[in-house]
Amino acid sequence: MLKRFSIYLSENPTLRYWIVRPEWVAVILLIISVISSIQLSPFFADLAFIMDSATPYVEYGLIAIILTLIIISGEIDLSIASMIALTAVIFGTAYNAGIGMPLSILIALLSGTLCGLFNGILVTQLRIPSIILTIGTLTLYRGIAQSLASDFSLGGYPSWFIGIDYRYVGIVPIPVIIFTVFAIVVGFFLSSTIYGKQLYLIGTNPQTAKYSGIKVDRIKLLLFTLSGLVCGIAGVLTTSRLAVARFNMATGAELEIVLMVMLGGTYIFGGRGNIFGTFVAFWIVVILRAGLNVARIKIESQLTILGAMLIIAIILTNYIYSKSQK
Amino acid sequence: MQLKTNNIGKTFSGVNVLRNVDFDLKPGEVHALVGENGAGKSTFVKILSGVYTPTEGNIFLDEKNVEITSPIVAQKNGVALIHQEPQSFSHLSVAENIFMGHMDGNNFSRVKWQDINSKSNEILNSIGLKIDPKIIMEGLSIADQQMIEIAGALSKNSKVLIMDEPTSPLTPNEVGKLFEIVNKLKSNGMAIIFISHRLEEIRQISDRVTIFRDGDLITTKNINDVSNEEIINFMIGRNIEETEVKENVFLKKDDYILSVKNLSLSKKFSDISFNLKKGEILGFAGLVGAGRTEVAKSIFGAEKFDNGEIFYNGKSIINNSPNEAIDKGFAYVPEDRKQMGIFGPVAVEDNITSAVPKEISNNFGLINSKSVTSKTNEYIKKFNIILTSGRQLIEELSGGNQQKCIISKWLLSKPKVLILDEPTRGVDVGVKSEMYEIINQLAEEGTAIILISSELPEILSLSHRIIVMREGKITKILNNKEATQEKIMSFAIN
Repeated sequence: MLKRFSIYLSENPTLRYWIVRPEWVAVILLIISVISSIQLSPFFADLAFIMDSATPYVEYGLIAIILTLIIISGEIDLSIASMIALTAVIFGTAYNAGIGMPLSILIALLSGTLCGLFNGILVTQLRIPSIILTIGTLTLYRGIAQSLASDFSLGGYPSWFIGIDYRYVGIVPIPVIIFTVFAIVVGFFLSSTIYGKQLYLIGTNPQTAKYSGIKVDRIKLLLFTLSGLVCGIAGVLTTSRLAVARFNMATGAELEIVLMVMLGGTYIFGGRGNIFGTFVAFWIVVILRAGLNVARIKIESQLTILGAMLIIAIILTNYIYSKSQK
Repeated sequence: MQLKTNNIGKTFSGVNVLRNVDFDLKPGEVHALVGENGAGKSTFVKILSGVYTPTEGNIFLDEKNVEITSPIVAQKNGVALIHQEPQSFSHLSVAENIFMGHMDGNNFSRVKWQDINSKSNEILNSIGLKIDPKIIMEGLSIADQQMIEIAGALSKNSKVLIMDEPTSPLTPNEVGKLFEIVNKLKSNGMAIIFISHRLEEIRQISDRVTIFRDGDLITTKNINDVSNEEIINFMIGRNIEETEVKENVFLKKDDYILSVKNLSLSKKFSDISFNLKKGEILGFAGLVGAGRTEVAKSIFGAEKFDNGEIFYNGKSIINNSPNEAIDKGFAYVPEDRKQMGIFGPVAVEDNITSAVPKEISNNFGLINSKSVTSKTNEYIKKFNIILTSGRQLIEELSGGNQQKCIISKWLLSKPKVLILDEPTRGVDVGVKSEMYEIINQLAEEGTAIILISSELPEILSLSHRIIVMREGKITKILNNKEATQEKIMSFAIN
């Protein structure tokens, strides 16, 4: 039965294109986690509660969207969490030096962009594998943040700046709106423009891409730079939410961000994946985390569950890709 | 007889690459194997050394029937293969490399270093090599590494030594040194199989020569009973299909679209100069490794070059990347289809339109999927590409259909200069003749074509002129009228 179905699919490429997609795994996981969370607590039937639970993860979600593009093009950026911390600390230092809010934000975004550019140059020009390089800059950027801020919490911001997560449009917090709009824009870019298509081609076979006249290095450089910029935005958002900037902000967040991308069905070796999957996976993480909190499961044990989910996601994604193409 | 084979044959997924090989090798003999690329000689020595197992036939060593199922079994039976590029562990010592795989330990499996070092010294001395066995391999010349590989074979008491093009990475001086050692081994009774493309060397070192062609063993001769011309004739055979090369209007004019002057890239090619007219098919003949692909890649901007100049429509140009080359009107169908030609798990239509982003999108980069489909369908129809739909993944198509897709992809970019690197490799006969029609038609429409091919009949039946390359240099430019397989071969090998 299953065999006949798979033969039928291989004869109908268009149908297969729509059915055999790993993001359906994410959708099913999302449904399961919603149902089991509602069993756990009636709060979960309340949309406002879920929205509020989502705000702390928006910063990660924004970066996961960009990381999806990077992984599709066959690279990875693990320095993301450190860039959040570094840009936040630079922002706090600049503001406390008295140069004003707009300029401080600008400096934060600029420093993030430069961090990303640095990653991109080393990967594309010196041909250092990005998984190695960004483990290096993960440590480096965190180290710079620590030397800048020591163990101090950089605070003292005006009240209008603090607490972006408590500003709403209707019941929807502003960060959730930012995330959703960003996901739609990038998702459209990836699925409908020639640049998006080229990302898939680069990730599938960089050699053929080069011989087809695709500017592989320039595109990858741009992606890493963009990743830095978005981390800068996330750094400022996080500071607004917490009211302080510290060097150890977002420690270990790269795990959770990679989890969102993998869970969404993006293929770790590049060439396949999409934003819709990452968007759904974001909500899985939100609901799972909230559910585990409601069930009073300790933070330490939550990590075990997230880690296990990451591995399951990778196994399922690989399985589906190996079934869908031979 | 040291080695004898009976009726050896090999089939790869239905394709017969070696048939009925009856071969023998005497102790104390150097026996040369020659043949064009793909003639079957490499497959044959891989069977002898256990890399492949034969589909049929028997191998006799010392008159005993043996089954060589793996390289280790081959070693145990005294058959050693010396690779063209020495395969050494560069961070280990010379002695460790010599005894790799058969170091005897003491009762606690501890390596007896003194033993190994002194034995290595003995072997190295016996072949007249003055190298300290304790030094690290890295930094030794290719020639020395090759000798150490031979020493490794001796340490295993090998009786049959197979040398696969051992001289191609060596300088003339080093070749002399290698031959001294070969002669020494020979006088000690070693049976040696020697593969080379250089007939002069074969004449110098070997006693007998066996010629392969298209998977058949054609003949075995004493080297003194056969001339170089005869060997070449045996290699290419007599069954040549003569087809007329098609003339066209562009060839009568004298303006060149592409002129390459003294192009050089160190260790790859040097002093390459040629002109190319619109509508002309310029064949590049030569053996694998003659530098033809490297020249093509440099022109296309995929690799750099050190010296020389490229003129395109009379203007000096440099292509810094394939992207720049494509913008100017160049296209390159690469030799390695899987690695550089296709995006395997991607739809055919995305493959075909991958080199023409501007043709399928508007100013904002939005893809016009109707135009993707219509452009794809146009070529599917034109070239009769067999598939279920444009959405099918290209890796599911046959090699010939994949190649048609790649040609379609480049024709979409409307190239002025089309470089085809082994365009019919791994393509069946039917698709091959379709491909020839396409190439001829493109030339008639005025496309300038560089055709790199290792198949001489293909070069001869398509090219207006033929450039023969050998070891990175152009050895001859022939007109189609004067070109024959024999002539080309005589310039492709020395």
